Amino acid sequence: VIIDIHAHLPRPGEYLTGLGVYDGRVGSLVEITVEAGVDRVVFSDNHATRADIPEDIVKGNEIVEEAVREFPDHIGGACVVDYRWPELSIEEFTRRVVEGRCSVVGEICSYHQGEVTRALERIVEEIVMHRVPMIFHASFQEDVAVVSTLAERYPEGTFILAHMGGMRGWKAGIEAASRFSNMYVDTSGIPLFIRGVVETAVRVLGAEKVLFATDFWLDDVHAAVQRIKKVDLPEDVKEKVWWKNWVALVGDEKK
Amino acid sequence: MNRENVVDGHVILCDVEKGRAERLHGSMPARKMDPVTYWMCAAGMGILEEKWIPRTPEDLVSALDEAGVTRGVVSSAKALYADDPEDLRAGNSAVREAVERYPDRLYPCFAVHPGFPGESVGQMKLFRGEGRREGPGMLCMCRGMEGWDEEGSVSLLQELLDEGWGIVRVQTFYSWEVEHLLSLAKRLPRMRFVFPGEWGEGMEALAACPNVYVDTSGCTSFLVETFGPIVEAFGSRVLFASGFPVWEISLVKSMVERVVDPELIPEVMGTGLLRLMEEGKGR
Repeated sequence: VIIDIHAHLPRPGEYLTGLGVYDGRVGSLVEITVEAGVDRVVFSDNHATRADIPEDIVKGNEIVEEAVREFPDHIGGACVVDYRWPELSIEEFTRRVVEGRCSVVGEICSYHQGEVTRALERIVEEIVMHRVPMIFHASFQEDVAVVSTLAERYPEGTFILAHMGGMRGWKAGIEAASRFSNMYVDTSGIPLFIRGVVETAVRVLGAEKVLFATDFWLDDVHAAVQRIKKVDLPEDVKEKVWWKNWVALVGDEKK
Repeated sequence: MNRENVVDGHVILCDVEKGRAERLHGSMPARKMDPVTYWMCAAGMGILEEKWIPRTPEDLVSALDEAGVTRGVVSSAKALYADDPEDLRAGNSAVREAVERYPDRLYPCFAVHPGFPGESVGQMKLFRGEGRREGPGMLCMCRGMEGWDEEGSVSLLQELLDEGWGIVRVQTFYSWEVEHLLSLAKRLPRMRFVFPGEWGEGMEALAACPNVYVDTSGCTSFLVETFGPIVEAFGSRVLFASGFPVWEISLVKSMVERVVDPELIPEVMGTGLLRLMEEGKGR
């Protein structure tokens, strides 16, 4: 079983790596991921993660919920929130996760780098209260610092550090996740590209804290699956990374 | 495709010691460090186990084998990040030894440094005397272009051209460095420039220069939105390169093969670089 915990929905007309222009049929994305060997994929809307206006978030989350509704056995939903619009974010969380079909929050891309703002705290407090995991994008050490602060401040929360912290933060990300029992890392992005990073994360953190993710459609799902298949780890460890850790965190996420 | 023609245009011999990585880490602002520096810091500061660090030519050849790549163009991290002429000499010697040990698997990429022009030209004369002109020389600007001396760089490159070195691989990481590269490319139209590119400001202007080639080791992410436009703009002037160990060879290879037009694959994966090197040494 392979569960991709962090992928993105494109919009019609956008180009998918090696696969041409997306025609807007979610079914075609299902086919691509199934062909790559992925059994279940958790999507957030890519445009919502880079929202210019609040409506981008609402629209994106709506598209994700619709995809989950259409393919409940293959697609899980991640609800995007944004610290710039805390009230709307809490409304969206309630509507899409607490009452809706999404099972996690993320990828949270927009937050004040290097600083935990009160607006972000308010959103996180609401999510933590419902014990829902959050996936935070991270590229820099400053991003890792923000997620670390939150993990320390909200020990009952579950914080997943996307890309292990990114090119400029993966070393700091692995070190931070080793300090906080409620902080996890995913394999998307940098860990896929650099030899030894996934193995290092497992060595430092233990296999239970590493989750398989591809960042599809931005990155190639085929290449990501093949890369992790080649990672120098025992099969029982890989099973945890592929899917067992995720199930342990969210249980049966199908709604 | 014919495996014989798959050439990785940039693999790095990690002949740097822990102290060097720590110094670099301490001296560079986090957001201004390039991927190679980051990688060296992580490796040198102990989070990566030694087994992941390609210290020897054997390690590089083994990585090429695993990825199904026949040849690699090898650089030395010590020379790329030379603090002084001695680093340049030591790093280039390591490259020379690697190529001597695996002449059918590795091409040399010797480093030159605008900060040490006399030493750079002297070494290139030496290597030319040994008949080693099959690989591109490299103008080392890995640590950013702060203190950039364009006239000095033009002068150095002109001397290299006069010595018969027709290709230079320029390390660029930031948009403001792209402007410098553009200026160099226009001032030295006979020199062929290879640079690690990621889509951003200035790329269209660079793509318009026929003597500028882009390699794939600069894509700090293979996002469709940054890599796709590079391929579209540069076409057959895209050259496969991983930057291993910063990026995993097999993954970069797989991504390039999926994004690039199938008709251009042989050119991008090796024949383009082989022809470029052949042309570059004929001056």
